[in-house]
Amino acid sequence: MSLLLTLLIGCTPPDHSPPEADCDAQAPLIALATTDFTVGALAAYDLTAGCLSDQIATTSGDPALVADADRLFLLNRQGGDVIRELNPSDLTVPLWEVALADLVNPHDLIVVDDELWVTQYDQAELVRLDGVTGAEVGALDLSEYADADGIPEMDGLIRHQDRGILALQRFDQGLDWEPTPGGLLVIELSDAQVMVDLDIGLSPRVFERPSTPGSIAVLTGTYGQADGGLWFMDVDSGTLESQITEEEAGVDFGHYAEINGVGVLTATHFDAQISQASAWCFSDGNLTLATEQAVWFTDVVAGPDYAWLSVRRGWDGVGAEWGLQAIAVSSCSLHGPLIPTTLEPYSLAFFP
Amino acid sequence: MFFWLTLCRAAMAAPDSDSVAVEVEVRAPDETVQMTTAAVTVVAVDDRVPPSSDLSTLVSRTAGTSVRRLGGVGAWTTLSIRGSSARQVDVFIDGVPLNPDGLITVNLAELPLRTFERVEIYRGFTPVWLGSSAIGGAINLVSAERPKGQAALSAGSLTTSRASASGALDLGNGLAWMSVEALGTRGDFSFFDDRGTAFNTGDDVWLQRANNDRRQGSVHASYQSGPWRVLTAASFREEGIPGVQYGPYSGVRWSTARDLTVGSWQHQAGAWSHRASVWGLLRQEYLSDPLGEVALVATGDRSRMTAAGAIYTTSFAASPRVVWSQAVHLGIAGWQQDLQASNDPSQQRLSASTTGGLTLRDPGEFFQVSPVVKVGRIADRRGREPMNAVSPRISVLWAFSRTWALSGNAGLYLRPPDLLELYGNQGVFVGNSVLSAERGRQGDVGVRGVGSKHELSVVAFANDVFDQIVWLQNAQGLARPSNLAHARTLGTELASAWRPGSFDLRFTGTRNWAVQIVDDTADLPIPGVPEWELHTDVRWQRKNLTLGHRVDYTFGSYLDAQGFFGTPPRTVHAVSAALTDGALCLQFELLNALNQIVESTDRDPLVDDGVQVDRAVTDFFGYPLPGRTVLLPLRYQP
Repeated sequence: MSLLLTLLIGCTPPDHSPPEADCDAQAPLIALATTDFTVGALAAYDLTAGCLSDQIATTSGDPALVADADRLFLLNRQGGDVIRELNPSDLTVPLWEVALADLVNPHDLIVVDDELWVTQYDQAELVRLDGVTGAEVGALDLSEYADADGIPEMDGLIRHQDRGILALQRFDQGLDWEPTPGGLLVIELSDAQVMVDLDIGLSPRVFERPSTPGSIAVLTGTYGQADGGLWFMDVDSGTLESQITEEEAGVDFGHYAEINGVGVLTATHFDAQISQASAWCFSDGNLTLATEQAVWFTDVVAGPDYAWLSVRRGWDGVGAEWGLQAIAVSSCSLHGPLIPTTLEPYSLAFFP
Repeated sequence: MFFWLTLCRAAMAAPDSDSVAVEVEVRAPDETVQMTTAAVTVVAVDDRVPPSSDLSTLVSRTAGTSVRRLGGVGAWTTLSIRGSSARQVDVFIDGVPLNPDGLITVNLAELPLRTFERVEIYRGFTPVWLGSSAIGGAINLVSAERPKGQAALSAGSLTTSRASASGALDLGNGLAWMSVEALGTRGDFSFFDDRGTAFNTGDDVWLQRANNDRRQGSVHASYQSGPWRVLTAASFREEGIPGVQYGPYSGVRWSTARDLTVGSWQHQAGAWSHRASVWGLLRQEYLSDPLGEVALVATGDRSRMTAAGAIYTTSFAASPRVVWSQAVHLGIAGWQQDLQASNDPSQQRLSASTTGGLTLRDPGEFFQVSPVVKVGRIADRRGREPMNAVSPRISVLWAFSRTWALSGNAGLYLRPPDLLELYGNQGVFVGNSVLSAERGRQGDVGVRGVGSKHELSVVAFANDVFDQIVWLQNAQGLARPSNLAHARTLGTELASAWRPGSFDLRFTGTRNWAVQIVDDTADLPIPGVPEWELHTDVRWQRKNLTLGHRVDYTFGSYLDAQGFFGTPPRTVHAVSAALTDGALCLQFELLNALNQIVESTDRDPLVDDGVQVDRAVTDFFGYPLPGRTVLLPLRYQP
């Protein structure tokens, strides 16, 4: 009997506890939301010490990070519907956390005085939260700017002085997510009035241009189609200027970040079955290839010296490595080795 | 009602009280325990099986198995044997496969348990006549040859009702038999919702599960005349898919219809025995998602799976010491989808295999060795090269006394990707046509003994699977399979029974060390395979009264493949009572008697701050399990 008990209980199970962090990352840092799309974890790369704090705290499987006005937020998006304000000096425990309504799918937010304005991808209301507690204090109904399904699919939101620039992607969910022409709204933040309503190409995404005050970058186009391009928008005049189209570039644009006047674009192959991602530098109307790999670049952000890429494996998930990768825009090339993370990164934010 | 509750309280309070226990016998059909080489548990489906039991609950209490439920009576369940995936377990009705090469996972909850006489659970090594080379093992549901007539009605919590009846009719030249069963439940149990905010307990609420109702019915009928037999087993099921608690579905419905029809002939002549079967299997599924809650787009996906085949098994006993067995399986499987958007809506697969084995015994019949090899070929209509597979295995047994025996098994196993994994376009599931077959190797060694009042079996096993097919999600929630993991499970299984006086005491225990080895560097857990799983059944019977108490204890399971969210120890009690008066039997069963639906876990498993919060008890992320449930069955068995 003792032999049987030994067989049953005598061995030590494997330890599944997470690896010890190799540093306590402090600002300035690149915050990473890593995920396998079932569960996720926060990580942070300390730009001064050059070390990574990995698996700091859990997130949902669809996380996004937003840094705005010296504050850092985590959005648990589809199926999560939760917003956390993170403490940049201690990412383990949020300052506060609040659940939105089920299935609203928060995509972005900006800080507006003592409020947070949150875009909800699957609702027609832009929700306003108390900036300290997260409690809902109001909403801005944007259903009149929606397509036929009544939902405008609001995505990115950028603050420029006293205005907010909001991207409406306008997929018709009633017609198998058929893309319809997207729009840009310029909203007066003081009275929550829409000042400008611009039509633009399919599925617009908006990005800041820190090197060019008063201007933002807009990417348009649906995944796998040569139907979009890069635009710069003058916020004050509300005018758009086309920079380069996906057809001209020969790739499908994904994300944009700008550092020292140079834009960094991520892109994918037009054939969705081919896992081939690229990153490009855009300057003076010219694209220069920085890297091309059999991976998936899910985000890019600008740090003080380099642009940073979120590198995931492609669809088949075999062979490629993943992590955080720096790009030197001066030479438009990779800088330093890939910084591996345990889970694959998905969303990045730079916190100064 | 007070009477029954009093009985239950007595049963719970008294340590020496009895229970309605699951009959577990470490005995293979038609063989003595000493001469069975396989690690097999045979569970008789008789009046000792609790009335609420379905196939999944019955199997879950046997050694080496782990069952995960989406919640509620009759809810969708998956079975793991020795850390396997659900797809690595073959399920048979009277030796005919319900998920043959190419078709998909069987939902154990849709099979009407009471229709069968016994359930055979093979862990690892499977007998030649099943023709299986499943990595995890196989379940064979066996119909009775001379079934008894009975009728039963049951009502209980959550508007749950179940009715069943079966009867046999001797037609002179043959025996006709039919069994019908129906189940309905609203499944609207209360659950705890932390709203996904572990750091904000102020918003925690109690909610009621919605869109969790289901109805299912089944008809099994057979006609047997001499060596000929025809069996048809049909079922229909319609249910709501409630979705995860943080993003519930309000309009998603799922319906399945299945029919298996088998014609068989068997013959025994001297040292030869033959059995031949032809079978046809039809399974149709329909996912209605009018609001686009699952697949983001409004869909009405219908898929039809059809399969047909022939099985020929024979054995020849050249002498008591040498027996040759052979099974030949031929099959064709087809899968057709009616999708709103699909680039390849139909596929067909041809498969053929032959499994042969020898059983060699020494003159004293103390030692037995059984080498077996399965050779198979699979060809899809288009898209892939045909695949050949050879799966050898061997088992040995040493009966070193009249009551004790040692056994061991080792083998190589293989599972080709099924048609959903290869070509699927079903809701959120999208196939990958370049998948490789899963390959496995496994072995076990055990000791077992049986006496007049006790049975004991202890088995240690090792199970390795390479190129494990894993469903990976993308950012839009679509899932696509890939060959990724190397899964390894080491474990021990213990099953025992003791029958002192009026008591019947059963205990099973399983300990698993189950890991995924990714890129040879990291050990990650296999979700849903508990480190510990213990089950006790205590039954006491005197005259016409039977009392029972069951305890299911699990510990150390993970909900996710990263090993972040581990479940704390979970002890679930169930009590039951049965009062028999002639042909009538009134029963009472209380499931989850202590109403364990909330458990305390680390607020954030990656943050070592010692703070614990409440979460709903689940087997899968976001799918809470129900609390205390009462069932009152009334059965008539002449």
